[in-house]
Amino acid sequence: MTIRRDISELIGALLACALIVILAACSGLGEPVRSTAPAAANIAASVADAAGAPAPVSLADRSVRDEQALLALELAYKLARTAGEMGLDAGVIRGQRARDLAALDNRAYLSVTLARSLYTAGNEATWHDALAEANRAVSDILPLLSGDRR
Amino acid sequence: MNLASLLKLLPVVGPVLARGQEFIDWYHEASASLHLTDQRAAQDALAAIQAENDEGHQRLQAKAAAAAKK
Repeated sequence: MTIRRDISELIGALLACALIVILAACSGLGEPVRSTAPAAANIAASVADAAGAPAPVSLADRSVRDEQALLALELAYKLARTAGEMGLDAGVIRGQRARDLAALDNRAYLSVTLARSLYTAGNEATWHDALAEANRAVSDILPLLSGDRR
Repeated sequence: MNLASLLKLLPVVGPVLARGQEFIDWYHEASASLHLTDQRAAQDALAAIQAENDEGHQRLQAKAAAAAKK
């Protein structure tokens, strides 16, 4: 049916937007650091990172770039889940495909919440790994929505 | 296309049109949030979208569970 193909094309276009956001998150977006934290805290965190030790300061105090990376991840997840919800509302995702979507959405959501927790906890190395993993988990939803995986 | 076939399409077209504004809003939200340079504003935007994603995740799971039975 033409309208269903149109929906698939619309979802495909939306997913392209999601990928742009994901790529932006991976490449480290944003303006230079304009942190509210003292410079000494950033230096201490960098030293801790270099030594492989947990950072003594929350990442929330470190840079706007960190918020933007997490924001980009949350926006990508929002787009993927909204596209999924649209497919469910339109009835184009059902049965096994709906079960697959639920599983992939759960995995992506858990990865996003893990990234949030590690961001708050403040170890930069672990946070970056979690961010990359969450981006992958969100990306894994996309083939199912675009119909490449049934 | 006759009226009957048009009416058959409405259940499919309706949700898509209803979501149109949501995607436009998403685009504006993304453009605005990713250009924030003030940390306080970025943190506020982050808290707002996290709350929205928490709620949206629950909603999607409920809809997917219902759709899985079809």
